[in-house]
Amino acid sequence: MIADKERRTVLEARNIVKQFGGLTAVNNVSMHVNEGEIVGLIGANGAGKTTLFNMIAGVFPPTSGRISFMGQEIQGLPCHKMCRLGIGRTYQIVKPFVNLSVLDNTVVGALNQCKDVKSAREKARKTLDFVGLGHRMDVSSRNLNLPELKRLELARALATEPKLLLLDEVMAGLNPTDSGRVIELVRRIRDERGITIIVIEHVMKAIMTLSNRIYVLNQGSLVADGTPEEVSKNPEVIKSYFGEKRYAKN
Amino acid sequence: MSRNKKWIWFGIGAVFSITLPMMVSNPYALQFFINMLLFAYLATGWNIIGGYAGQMALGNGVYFGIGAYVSTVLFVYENLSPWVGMVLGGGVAAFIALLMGRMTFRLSGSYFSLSTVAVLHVIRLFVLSSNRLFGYETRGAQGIYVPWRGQSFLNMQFEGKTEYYYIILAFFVIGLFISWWIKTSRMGYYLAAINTNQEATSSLGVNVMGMKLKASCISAFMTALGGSFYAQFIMMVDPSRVLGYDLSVQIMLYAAIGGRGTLAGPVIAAFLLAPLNDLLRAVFGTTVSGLSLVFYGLALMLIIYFIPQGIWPYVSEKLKEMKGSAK
Amino acid sequence: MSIYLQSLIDGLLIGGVYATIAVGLSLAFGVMRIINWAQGELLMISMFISYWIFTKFGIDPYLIIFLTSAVMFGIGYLLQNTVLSNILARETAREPVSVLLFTAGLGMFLSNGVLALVGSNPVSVITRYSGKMIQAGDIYISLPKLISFVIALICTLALYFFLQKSEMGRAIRATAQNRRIATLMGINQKKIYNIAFGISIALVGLSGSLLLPYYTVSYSIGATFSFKSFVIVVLGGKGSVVGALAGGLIVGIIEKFGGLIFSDTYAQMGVFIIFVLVLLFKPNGLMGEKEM
Repeated sequence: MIADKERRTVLEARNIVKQFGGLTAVNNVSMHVNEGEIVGLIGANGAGKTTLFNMIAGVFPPTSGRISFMGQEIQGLPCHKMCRLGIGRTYQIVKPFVNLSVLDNTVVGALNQCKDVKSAREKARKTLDFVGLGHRMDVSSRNLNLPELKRLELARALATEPKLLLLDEVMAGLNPTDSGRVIELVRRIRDERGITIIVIEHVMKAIMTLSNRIYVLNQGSLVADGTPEEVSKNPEVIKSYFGEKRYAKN
Repeated sequence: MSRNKKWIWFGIGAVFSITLPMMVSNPYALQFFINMLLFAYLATGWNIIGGYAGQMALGNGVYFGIGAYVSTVLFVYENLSPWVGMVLGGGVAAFIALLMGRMTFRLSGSYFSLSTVAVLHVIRLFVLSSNRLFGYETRGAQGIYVPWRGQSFLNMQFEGKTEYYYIILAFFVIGLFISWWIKTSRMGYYLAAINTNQEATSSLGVNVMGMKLKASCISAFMTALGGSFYAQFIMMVDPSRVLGYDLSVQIMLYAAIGGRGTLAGPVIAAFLLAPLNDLLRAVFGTTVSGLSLVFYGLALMLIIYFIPQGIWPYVSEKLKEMKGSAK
Repeated sequence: MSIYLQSLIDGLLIGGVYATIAVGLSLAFGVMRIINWAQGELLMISMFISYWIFTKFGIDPYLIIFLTSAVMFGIGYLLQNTVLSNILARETAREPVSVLLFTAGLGMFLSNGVLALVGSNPVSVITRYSGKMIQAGDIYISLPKLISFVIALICTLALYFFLQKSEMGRAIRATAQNRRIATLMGINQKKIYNIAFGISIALVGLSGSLLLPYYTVSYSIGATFSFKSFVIVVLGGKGSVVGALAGGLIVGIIEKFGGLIFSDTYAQMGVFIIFVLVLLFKPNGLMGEKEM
């Protein structure tokens, strides 16, 4: 592995604040992600993880603060521009296009970087093979089960050819076998495609084994960051996070 | 259906539609087919915004009226060829669609539906109450008669109905081609995605607002051209004929009955239902008006209740099942 | 000066009835997230029912309100219970498109059905108090308009208190806010929908009888009333009774003032312009809450 310093910074967020009315959902968060890293984002429900994702993905702008992607300031750009720049995302609650087949779902993503429909279909096929949905291509996405839908979300986002991929709880609701497969897949996305990844995850074992570094959010603020070992020893984190039995279970 | 089979059907359709005026000598019967094609064309235009993009436009008739009025006014008072006038009318319609879309697409879908009806009502009222529009005499509810300036392609005026038949056939074929092209192109994929989940669509790099506006403008432009043709064909325009609310619902309902978002659905429904109007008129005469619309309304309710996806998707699914069991 | 006061009063009086129609639409919109495109046509039907009863039996239109609102409540309840609920059950989208299409078809069916049955001639009634005026200085107040206004106001306020205070009203509001959680709390969603839609149509029935003493009815008036109600709902914010009441009064006043200063048609267009302005600047209505 290359040393941290030699790598390019893909994403840098500085002093991000997001307020909804009087509520501060994200409070002065700064973070950076280097090329080729898998960075974990953890915290209890309502800690502001998805809000942070939404700002990076352009769903809404931060109230204040700067976000730069590959050296370019991007805060406040709309979703589709973020995607065109190379930020892909999946949703916590899967959002398949139920009126389309699995292949066509993925084609919508693939068109982002393809000149014509034909090459987009080709790329979509390859992407579906890559995530292991090749045999389900012509099925309506209405008929997929949850593990398959999660893969479809991944395939769609991957097909846009992102440089940075934001994964919002891709393992939630999956049994240990299925989440093991997804962990494997996320690793392959980074290793074989060289895509930098930020993951939000509740399954602790998964995030500990996957991530190079972890940021811990609590009530909108950053309380710790570092390697999985460092973070898991941090007393603040143990108190606010691992103290709860339901998370330690996995 | 295999590719060859498709071409065979296409060939049969082409030969039939081109030779039709030679087989049908009765001008009344030809009018029958002109109506069918006109509504198939209009429903195809509606389908782009209402079917592919899933934005329930309920006032598409307004673009029909705009097209009819713009080309007619320019023909009557400026002696401008309707062929040019209809393009201008289409431009005006597309511009209004753009303006309204810009304002209402940000909001939830029902507001878009409301805004389309709002535009329809206001323009209808405006035309209805004005004797002059932009300096041209339009005579409110009475409307304008298109003067006969002699048979000429440039004037889009012909003594028989055959030429009108071929013009609307060409419109229909071009409209169907545009619809097919959109459906199979990048835009078709994007619109289908927008139809189900706009948030997810924009996360895949699609400018959702831009796409919806584009679809809305194309739909408005096509509808306006249909209006221009209609005005030249019946040689008059008045608000109740070209700006009615029922006309808007009628355009929409063919697509909804035939199958929203399918290429063939709106066409099939228009071919099946549009002649009903002429048939009922032939049977009951003009004493009982509105009867065909009663049936259309009823048909729409029944279809939505029993096969909400529409006739064509339902039938093609059944055909597939039959083929599957035959094997 | 008195001419303006006169318009203001006239506007308020008709606006009260507009409000009642719109409250019904707003209730269905807020609770079931459906727009009933046949609202105006159902009003037209209710006016024809009132007209028919009045001419056949000579019953005073203000007594017919009990009958029309009961009948229309039944129609609304049954329509939702047997038809709309099945359509809604299939819908996954947040705003059910197929109900919109269905009610658009229903509207077309009703208006043209009336056209085919009774023709296009408008009809109106002459009652004992038709043309009766109350004079106050320079101001003349039409008696039937005043009575209709008062009844409309009472019914709208009664609905408001019903929704705020009663058990059923609370259940309806809970369902409007979050149907999933309301169902979890043991509220029978279908029953709530039935009742909400029943009330919605009952208000239309009521308004039909209230309009009859001073309003001419023909098969085609539905579309304009539907549209006016939409504007009022947008103005007041969907689901808000007070908003719809205020919106109704505003639209009534604008119509009368616009009619006085320009012409009736321009006044109608003024209503549209307000619609656009509200969409632009206050998309959640003047009093509406933010969307969740």
